[in-house]
Amino acid sequence: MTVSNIKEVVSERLGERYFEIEHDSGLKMIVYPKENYASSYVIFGTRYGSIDTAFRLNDDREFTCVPEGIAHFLEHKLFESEEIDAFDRYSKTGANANAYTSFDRTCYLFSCTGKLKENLEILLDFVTHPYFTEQTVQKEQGIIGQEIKMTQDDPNWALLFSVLQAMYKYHPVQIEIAGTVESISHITADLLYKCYNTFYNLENMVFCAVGNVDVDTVLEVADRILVRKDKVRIERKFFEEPDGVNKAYVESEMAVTAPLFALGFKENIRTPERTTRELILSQCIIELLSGKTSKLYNELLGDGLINSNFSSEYLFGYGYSSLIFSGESEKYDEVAKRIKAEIDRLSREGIAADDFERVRRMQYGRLIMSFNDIDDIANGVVASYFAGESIFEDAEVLSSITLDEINDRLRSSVHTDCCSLSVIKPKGE
Amino acid sequence: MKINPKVVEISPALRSVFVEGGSFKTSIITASLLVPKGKNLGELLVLPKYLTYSTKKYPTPAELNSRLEYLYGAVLDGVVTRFGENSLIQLEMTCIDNKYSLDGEDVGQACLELLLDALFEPDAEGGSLDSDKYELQKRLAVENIESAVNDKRRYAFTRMLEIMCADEVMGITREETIDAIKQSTAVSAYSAWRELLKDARVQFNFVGSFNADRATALIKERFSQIEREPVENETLFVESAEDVTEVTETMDINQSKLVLGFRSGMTHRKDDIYAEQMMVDIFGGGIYSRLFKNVREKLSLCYYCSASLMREKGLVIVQSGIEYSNRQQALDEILNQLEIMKNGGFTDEEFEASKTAICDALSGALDTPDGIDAFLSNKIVEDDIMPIEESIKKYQALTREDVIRAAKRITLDTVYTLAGKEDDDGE
Repeated sequence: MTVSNIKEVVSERLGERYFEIEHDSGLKMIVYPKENYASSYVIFGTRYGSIDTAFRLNDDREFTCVPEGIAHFLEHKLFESEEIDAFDRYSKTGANANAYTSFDRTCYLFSCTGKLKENLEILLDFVTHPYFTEQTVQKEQGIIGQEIKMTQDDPNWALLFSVLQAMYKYHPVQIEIAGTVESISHITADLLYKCYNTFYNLENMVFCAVGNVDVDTVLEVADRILVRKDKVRIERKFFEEPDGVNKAYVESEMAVTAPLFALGFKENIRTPERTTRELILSQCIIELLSGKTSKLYNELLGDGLINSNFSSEYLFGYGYSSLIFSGESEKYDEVAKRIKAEIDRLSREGIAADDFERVRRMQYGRLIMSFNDIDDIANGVVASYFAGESIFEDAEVLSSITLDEINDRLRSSVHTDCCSLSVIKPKGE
Repeated sequence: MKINPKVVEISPALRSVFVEGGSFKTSIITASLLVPKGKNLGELLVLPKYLTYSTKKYPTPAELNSRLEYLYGAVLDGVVTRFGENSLIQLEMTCIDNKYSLDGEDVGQACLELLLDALFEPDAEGGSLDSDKYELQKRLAVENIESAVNDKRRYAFTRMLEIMCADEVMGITREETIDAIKQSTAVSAYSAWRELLKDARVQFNFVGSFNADRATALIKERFSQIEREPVENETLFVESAEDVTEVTETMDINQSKLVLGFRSGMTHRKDDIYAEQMMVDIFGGGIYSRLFKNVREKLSLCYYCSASLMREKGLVIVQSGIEYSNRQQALDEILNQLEIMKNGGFTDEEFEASKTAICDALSGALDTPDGIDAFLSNKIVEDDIMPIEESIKKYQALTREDVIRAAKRITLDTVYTLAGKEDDDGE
């Protein structure tokens, strides 16, 4: 058996624990047993997503630039092998297998109740054994082409990217995760290997198993399949953004019934990464500004300016950070005006102590409740790991943030003169 | 997780079901009310949101939501879903388990009282709901239905059902629904609320640490003021299609949608249900299915092509997103795959893969409070709650012949195409 370093991580506050393993292959493995669960949920992920369009490997002098959508394309192709593809192998075990690509990660996953060991073998094996040929690349262009067309017809998806394009001038967060029919036509087997060899090294990856799992079973399979390779040094291009937004207003037309809007506030950042503290503070700010108890939300609803499609989120990652409010409204200008006025008012007057405590208490409850679903936990573990934290960190941060901090964060990160409004209008109006 | 539901029959068609939450950190309480669809159509689509927007005790949404946030971010929601040709109205409360409350408050009990208030003590006076708030919820309900067009897959699915079931309750159209909502008033909705409490088959689910006696007593007390006359919940099953209806509509979109509606041959919701489910799964369920492997992987015609069984109405629906120029090829291949199912041309590997996947999924279906709640809600029309292990045994006992028999009963009823306008140039 290979020597691996195993550490138990405990959160007394949450009543949760997991094991963190520095596997000899260089892979960080997290095994998170949950009592009384029949099923397991397992993720093998790499810190590689749609925003990684330019990178340098080891001593490369120049940045390698790759076609938009290649991380997602690679995700599709990795399921194939020279003999039997991964889906066919999973068909024999009954596992429910899938994968996804986001802005900054690609994850391969399965859930199962039986045959854990066999499923682990399939997952660890196919992700570490790429097989790409020009022929199979071509076949996939048809399938992904249809996936792209499907998302092009999704107005909410289009809205998100249009507001990102309005806010960001250079950062690749504004490009569609799957790319375009045109951009994926430039993908070749060689390029896929180049990306694979850069980002699918075990030091850039993480493994997480939650539920009906145990350390011995995981290690038994990992020791057999995972092989240590030479270390690689990846340098991601940091797309430095100018202060301020690219465009204050953009509009387009689609087959929708009423105008859709997204109002994005771009944070001017000097360093690429945000801390868990900044994340928690921003999530509380969103609740305080436009949550169901807020003055703003209830007035907008009561005055007929928004409907149940209204939502808000804090979107952040390597080199980007923004608050986005979106919804459906004939009077999107008025909605934008009121959101900005409320931000200005709160910045000026400060957030009330009672409101802050109520929202903190609510976030605490929601956090506790998120520790039921093994898929939520596994995805949370992976996201936290890539952010350099433990999934238990959120609860600690939440209990220690102060009113002064949240007021500071609001004043320093959300500026009403640094925002973009994107509107999608019904076609032909 | 293994569960052992405790069922308490309170009165005819009224019961509560308790499942201990084990190590869950979340508790769920759901009030499910099932009534035939059609009567009070518009009112019932607005009521669940109205009832959970404010209550007599917390007459503004800010007050109600403040209370929920104070209860550690408890979530109260009201929804209506289709259950065959009936409407399932559900008020759902999700909250943290008591052991995580910081000050020892009985969160579960407080949330149950809040849920019962929402159902029995709405914001109403003198035989009418609050008219401003009702008008607001009417607007939201109408806009919600209108904006469903933005989801083309869902829209095409709904259009197909409207066409296929034009003479059945299932086929009530979006326009008819919107009209019914617009015509409803705060007064008619008040009556609809009273009738709902009188007519519905009702089940309360409790997942988590609850005192069954105390909770049941509270429910009993609230219902003691209602003269209950539960009505039957029925759904028309059309055994087979007489001929095929083909409808093509256009929209300014990039990808065309092809939706096929079949009559499964089922005559009631339990009719050969295990064989039906598995047949549909091999045909177009998982990644091992005939449609995924042939229409998507082999012919590269689409990103998705899948089949599902609407068990409560006995329909099989195939959905796919395609280039319009590939429509005929996709249609031919889908029907070809169905013929293969009928002739027993599926492989032993596919048969075993489906059986393994279904049983594996069922074994893990009760691992979350939501999963348990959904499992129990689906049993609302059944007298006994059959353990999930029994279902697994039924699937395990199925043979290839069972699947072929189920496939042979299927008939094609409707082919619906939502065509992208500029697809003809083969782009």
